[in-house]
Amino acid sequence: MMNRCTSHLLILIGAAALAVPLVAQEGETPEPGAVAEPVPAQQQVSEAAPVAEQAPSLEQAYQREFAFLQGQKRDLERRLAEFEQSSEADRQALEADIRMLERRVVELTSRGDRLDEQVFESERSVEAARDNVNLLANTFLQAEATIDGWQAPALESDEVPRPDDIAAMFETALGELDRRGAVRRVDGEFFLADGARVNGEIIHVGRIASYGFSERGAGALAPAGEGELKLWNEESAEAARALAAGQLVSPLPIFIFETLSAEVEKKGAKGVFETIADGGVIGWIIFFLGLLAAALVILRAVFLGRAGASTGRILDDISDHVRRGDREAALSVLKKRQGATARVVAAALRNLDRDREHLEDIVSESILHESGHLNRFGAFIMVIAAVAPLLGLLGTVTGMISTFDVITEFGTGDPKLLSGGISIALVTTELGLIVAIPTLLLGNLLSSWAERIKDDMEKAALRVTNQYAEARPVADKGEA
Amino acid sequence: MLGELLNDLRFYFEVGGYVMPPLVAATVVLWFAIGYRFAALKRGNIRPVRRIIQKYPDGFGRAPRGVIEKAIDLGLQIAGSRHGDLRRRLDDAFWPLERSINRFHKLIMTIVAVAPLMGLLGTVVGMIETFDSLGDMSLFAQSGGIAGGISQALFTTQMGLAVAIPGLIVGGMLEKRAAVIRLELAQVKDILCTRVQQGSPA
Repeated sequence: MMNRCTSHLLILIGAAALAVPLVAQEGETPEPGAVAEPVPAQQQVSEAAPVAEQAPSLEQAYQREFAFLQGQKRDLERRLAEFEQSSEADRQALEADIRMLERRVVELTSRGDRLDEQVFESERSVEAARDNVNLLANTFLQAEATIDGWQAPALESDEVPRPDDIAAMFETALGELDRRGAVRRVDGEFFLADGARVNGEIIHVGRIASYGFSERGAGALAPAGEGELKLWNEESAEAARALAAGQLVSPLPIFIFETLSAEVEKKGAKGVFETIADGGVIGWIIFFLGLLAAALVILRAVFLGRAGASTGRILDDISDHVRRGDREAALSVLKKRQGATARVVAAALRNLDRDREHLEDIVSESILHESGHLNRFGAFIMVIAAVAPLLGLLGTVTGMISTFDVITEFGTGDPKLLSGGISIALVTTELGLIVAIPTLLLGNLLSSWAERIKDDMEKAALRVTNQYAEARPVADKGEA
Repeated sequence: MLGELLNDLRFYFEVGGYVMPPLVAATVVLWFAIGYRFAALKRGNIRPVRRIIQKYPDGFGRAPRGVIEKAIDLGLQIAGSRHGDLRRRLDDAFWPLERSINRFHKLIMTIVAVAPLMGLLGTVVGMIETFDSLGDMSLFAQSGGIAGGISQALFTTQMGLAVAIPGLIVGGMLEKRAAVIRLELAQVKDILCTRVQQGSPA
């Protein structure tokens, strides 16, 4: 812009300078409004002018020149203003242009974005449609495999299935569902409990349970493998007959199965020894410990029974003799009796004449002597009761170790492999508890029995001495 | 209401397996023993021992109502007959009372200790069933399968604890009462002996 302006000015000034020698009289006219640059040129030109002619009057020439230059100046100013105006208008127009263009760019960009999005979305929907077609094809395949009597339409590689096909498939599936959910009766064959195959009526309750009814046997049916059925148990015979007769039974004995292809084995109750064998070596150790504990408990019970049963009767038998002061007769009665109490009482009787402390020492000594016999096996029984659960725990840990060994080797895929170690773990715990519970119970009861017998012996000796002491003054009086 | 309760109990009994009969038997024995002890541990008189003896220095003149009254009655009779060594004769005479006080305590505590073990045993049995059915892949077998095993395991534990906890609490309370009565019997002996010694010179 600036360059254009200055070049215009230069041209104008040049033209003016050329016109000066022709028209002007006075060369020395500095232009007040002119730009600084052209001044030297004008001066050069106007220096030449006075030399050329000394016109009629300097004053006139100057005035003419001045007027001319004034006119020139006005003209230039006007043109400058015009030019400024026009350039301003140009600028505005151009700016408007730029703004419009910018708006268009923005518009176009957003449109491009929208188009991109549309492209993306349509790609996605194409993808989804392809997935759906695949899914449909798979559904058709699956339906063909699982629904009896339904043929999938033959499709070319990229052909889209028709709605009719789909509707037909769903209709067939619905029919099949109805058929399988229904209770239906058919004639068929099944196995009896003894393995004989019989013809009879089979009542299918959906596909999860069946009842069989025949001349030779009836009842709930269980899968026998490969689509065959077998009689589950005889208890359900009544229900099966009633069902065959069309009546409803409540409660309905039912054997629910998931599939006919796998045979259901009737699990026989495991014997005691099989269970112990499941527990491994530790199982057997616990078992023998249990036997030992049982034997000891029985032996101890026999000892205690012998030692303690007769306390009351002994006292009854001898009290008459003692009251009479007849020690010899009492001792002979005691001699006939066996047992700890009899021995303690006899010891007390023999020493009745000694002073009290001495007598008490003798009685407590003989009780101590008997208590060795009474306590026999007691501690050992309690040890077994304490050790058996610990052995069970040991078996648990051993079983867990073997389980983890199996896991290390084969992974956790097959639960059957793991169940061996787990059954060792659990069976030993079970055996430990089975041994510990009765042993603990009986051992505690036996030791409390033993305590009671010792107590009884002490009291029996006390009673004998008391009776004798009661008798003596009477006897003394009688003698006196 | 009662029928429902009975039904629930029968269900628990069936679910719990072979642990249940001994557990139930243990419960019956436990509560019989607790009942016996409860009946045996009646003092019969709420006054302190010394006061009773002061109030009835010559016997009650009626049938005694509880252990302490019985002991005092017996002790007064023996103290009245005055021959032999009184303390030893009292020891002898109170022996049946002390025996009936201590009776069944050990049994109660043993059953309380054993019942949770039985519950644990049932738990293990149930777990065995669970793992068996895992091993057979017969997860929902007719005999119960996994869920049956687990419910057996939980029911028996619950039952064991349900038997043991009240037994423990009541048994502990009864033992405390028995200890008090034992002390009071000793007090009765002491009082009677000192009374005779004071009284005999007079």
